[in-house]
Amino acid sequence: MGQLIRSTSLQLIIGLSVMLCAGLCRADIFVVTNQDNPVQQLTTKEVRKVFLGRLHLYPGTEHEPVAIDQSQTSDLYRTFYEKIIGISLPKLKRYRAYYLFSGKGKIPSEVTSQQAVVDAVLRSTYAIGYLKNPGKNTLQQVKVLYRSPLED
Amino acid sequence: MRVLFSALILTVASNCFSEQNWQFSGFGSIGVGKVNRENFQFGEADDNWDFDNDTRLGVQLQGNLTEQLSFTTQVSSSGLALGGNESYTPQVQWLFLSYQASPNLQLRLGRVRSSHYIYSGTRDVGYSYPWARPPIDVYAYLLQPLGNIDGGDLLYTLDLSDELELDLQLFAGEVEGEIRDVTVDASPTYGTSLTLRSLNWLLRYSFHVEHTNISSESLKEVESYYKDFTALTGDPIFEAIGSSLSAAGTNYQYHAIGGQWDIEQWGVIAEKYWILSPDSGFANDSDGWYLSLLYHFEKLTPYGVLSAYDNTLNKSTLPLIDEALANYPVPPFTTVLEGTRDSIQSFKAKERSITLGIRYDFMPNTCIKFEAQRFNFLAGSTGQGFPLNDERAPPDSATLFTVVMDVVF
Repeated sequence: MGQLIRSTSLQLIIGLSVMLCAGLCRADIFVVTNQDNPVQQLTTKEVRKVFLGRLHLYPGTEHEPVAIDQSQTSDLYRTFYEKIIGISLPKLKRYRAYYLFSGKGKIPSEVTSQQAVVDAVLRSTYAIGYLKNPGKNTLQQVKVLYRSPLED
Repeated sequence: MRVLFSALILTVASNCFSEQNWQFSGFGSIGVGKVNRENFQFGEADDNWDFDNDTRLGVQLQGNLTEQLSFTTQVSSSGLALGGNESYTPQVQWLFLSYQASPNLQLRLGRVRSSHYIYSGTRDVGYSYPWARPPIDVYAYLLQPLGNIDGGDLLYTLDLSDELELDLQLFAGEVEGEIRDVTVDASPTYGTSLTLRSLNWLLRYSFHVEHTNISSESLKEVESYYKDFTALTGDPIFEAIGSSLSAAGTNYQYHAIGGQWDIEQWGVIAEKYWILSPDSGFANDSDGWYLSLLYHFEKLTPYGVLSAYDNTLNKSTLPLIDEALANYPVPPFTTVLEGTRDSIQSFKAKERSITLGIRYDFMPNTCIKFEAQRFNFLAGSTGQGFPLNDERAPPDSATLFTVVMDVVF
């Protein structure tokens, strides 16, 4: 009987651990901007248009989004564009060249780290970037416009 | 137009130090090409490996003057000299002010690229398309000098659903260029393009009307002969032939449809254009199409293209020349008539081609392409190729080999 109780308890602990980890370890992508930006949230489509350069003004404003990209070599860059934007990286490169040099607008500027994205967002009212599981302190400094869970 | 450009430069100069938000970028291609026929030329490529046909360099500057007003300019230099320019002469391809009136409405004023085809705006940017160059059976050498419009356009995007958008462009302006020794002045030019797009496909239609004046110093001289012949013989056939050698305010309609579709690793791109000319006078009937199939591995993209091109200048004039030759089979009539016929027929081009190639994205923002394009020439023409030795029989086929490396920065 004692062995049965120990076994059941062990299964319970493992189950709870898995559930807890699913909550705490879940990878989310946050699209963030400066707290002074009047925009409150963006839809998936609007996020897609911002980072593909097709949203020239924030909805309901006369302000241009200043998009910030993570490093092209980072996993987050790949994940963001493939999972959120829905475009493969080879296609994105061709699209960016096409978009940039056909006079339609500018492409996001690239920074080298997650902290650099935060710094850029803190510096510019209309900057917009994406972060993976930012810490509580970071989330207190920026405004979250969009959040999406990722399946790693 | 000079006044407009001066105004643009002054506007930028007065604002350029007030904003830090400028973006400098560039593109380049270095390519070598060779044709497998002696004394024969495609663009700048002949039977020697040569860099000029696909070597290009361009730089672009964009910046915000205010949040809604921005400035863009692009200058490029190409080894492929079409029209009246020398190889590598820098050309201003874009120079415009853009005003974002609302999230979906943009106005541009200045020099913009024409919007005939999907890749008209980035024709010089090799990195933006899969091939060594956009298929010349649609992006024809003959019409490339007419690739810029000085004027303006309006771009409106209509959100149809979460996945679907319709881009509407209306434009107006003027086009100037030289095709061989022929000067083309299309003023006004106006039209529209419609693009229905989702993330993985697009459909496109464009329509241009060009109110065109066409003239040539050498053809003017020939025209004067026909005036003399008319005065001498009183035969109106000479006036009809002479008047077909230039155009004054003639409307030409350019239509193009195209589509692009990506599904998983596969890609399909296809375009077709056709020009509607008047039934008489200086008339250039032209049409072309291509169908391209691609397969994307991670860094490798093999591709194939089927394409066709047909161009006929003044088809209604040739029977008149034959009739005049039959009626006046003596010099100087024969000399002038035969010269006119040869000149008109030199613009005749009919070709079919198959292209096989592979693109390798071996570094970030850099790729290399290997391509072979096999042309079959029809209707006694040499397509878009030029025989360099008139004494030899022109070939009925040719293959153009190209290796080109593209970079964007």
